[in-house]
Amino acid sequence: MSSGMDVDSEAVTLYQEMKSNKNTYRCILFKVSDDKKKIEVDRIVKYDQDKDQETEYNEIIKSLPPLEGRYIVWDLKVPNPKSGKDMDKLAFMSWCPDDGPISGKMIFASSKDGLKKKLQGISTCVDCSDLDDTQYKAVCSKIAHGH
Amino acid sequence: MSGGVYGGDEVGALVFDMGSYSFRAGYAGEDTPKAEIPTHVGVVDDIEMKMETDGGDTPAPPDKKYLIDTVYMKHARKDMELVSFLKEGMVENWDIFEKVMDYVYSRSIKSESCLHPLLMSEPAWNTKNKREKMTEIMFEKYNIPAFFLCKNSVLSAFANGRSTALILDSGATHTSAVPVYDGYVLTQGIVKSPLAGEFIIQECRKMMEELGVEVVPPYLISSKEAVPDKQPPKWKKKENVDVTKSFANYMEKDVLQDFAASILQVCDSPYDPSVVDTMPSVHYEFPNGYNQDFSSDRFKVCEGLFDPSIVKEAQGNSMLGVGHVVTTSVGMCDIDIRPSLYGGVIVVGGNSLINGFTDRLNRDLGNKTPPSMRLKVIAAASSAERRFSSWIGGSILASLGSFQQMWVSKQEYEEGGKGCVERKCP
Repeated sequence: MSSGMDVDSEAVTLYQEMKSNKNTYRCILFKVSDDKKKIEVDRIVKYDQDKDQETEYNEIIKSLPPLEGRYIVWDLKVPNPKSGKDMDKLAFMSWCPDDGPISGKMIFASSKDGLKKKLQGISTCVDCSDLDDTQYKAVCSKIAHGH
Repeated sequence: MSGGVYGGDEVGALVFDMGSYSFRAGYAGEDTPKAEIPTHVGVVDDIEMKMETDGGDTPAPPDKKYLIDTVYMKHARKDMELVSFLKEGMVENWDIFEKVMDYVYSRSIKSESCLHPLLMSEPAWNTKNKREKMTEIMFEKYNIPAFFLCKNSVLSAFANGRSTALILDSGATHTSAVPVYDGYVLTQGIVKSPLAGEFIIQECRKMMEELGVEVVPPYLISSKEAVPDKQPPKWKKKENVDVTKSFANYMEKDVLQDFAASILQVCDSPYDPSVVDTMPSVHYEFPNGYNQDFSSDRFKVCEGLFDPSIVKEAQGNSMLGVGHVVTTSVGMCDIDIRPSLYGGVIVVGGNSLINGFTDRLNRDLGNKTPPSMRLKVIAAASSAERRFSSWIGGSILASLGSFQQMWVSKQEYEEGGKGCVERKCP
């Protein structure tokens, strides 16, 4: 079941770009538009060669709004659980803080499925409802294992 | 007639949410339901002649009069039987259901049913037949412009910001655990237990019998005097009150329910008389004026919810305690999704408002959750959000402009028949 919310076409285009050019964007953040009519791009974080992936990840997590939801698509390098070699992975994360207002949570959670369907080719989805859920190591391991 | 035009954000949709204790109805977009009506309805035979037709081949069933809503059904009246139209959370008696609908539209909503799209909640285990029948009645009889049926556990999960969660709903007649994954109910993992509100009331009744306390509902009392602690109550009984057994029973439960809500407390850890004796006691006054302090008993009564083995009857052993309901349900789901379920155990339902319920659940589950998984028990702080979580979820969803494409419209119903509810409202 979903809310039937539209996804902005720009959001899908950006995602396609991210998918075909690995290592261009570190992540794209999406949000529910203020008029609650569609899901749109909140902001983009470009890939920064000079920064360590973990530092960058933590900076972005820190910048997340404490009471509002964000959908995030990450382009991360995670170690392959078998060989240990780094592999490029796209992963979907939903940030929906428990402390937020009930209407925000309802709209956010019921619209997630609609966005995920539009972003084809993502297998992993990490749900976060507080900062403990966003810990770098745990998230990377989830992405590497695919669940 | 232009019929059901619902464009833009002003949908004017209604949200109905049924629980085994009460029925919630109101406008989408509002914070709380406009009306909360007991699911029990008073039924009186309208014709007194019934007895005399005895012996006839097939006496025509007498007309029945239905008394709906607190003011009418809680008024003592001769020969009024109190019945519920629900069984296990599903509509069982459709005649009474329709009577309640008539009442809700005319008295609570005060508008025509044909003007408002309707979003209705249903239990996760609702059957295909009942869903189709509901759709049929709402479109055919009430002529609604659009309809949507939504699992109440999915609404509760979304209202807590999750599309994957385990919904623990402790209501009046049962406690259930329903796993929700990506916005869909995993039917194979549903677990139900009768240890819920009614059970607590039974236990309270047993306790009162043991203590020799007479539970007198207000309708029997004409006057009373204040008496000191633990002294026999001084009260006068109303004369000529003639009620049915079901009414007397319901009203007695009403008193015990208030008692349970104000006095009972779940222990933090498994019941231990030596610990409980040190806890403070709480004073309670019954409607007839009798009053006393309750100390260890107020912990003992609800222990059965979490530890059915202390319940005296043999059946107690075969029922699942609240913690067990959760672990059993998670255990029946795929191993890959278990961590996400333990990470979002959402507690809803009126019975979960007993003091200490969530703390105890947290502790019981903490002992049973595998160490590799993170446990998170979520319970809304306000009682309205917990009792009405699915109504509020439905209210927000139905008021969304984008949601209008999800409704089953009258046209779709006319073209596709009642089966379209299965397709559009999975």
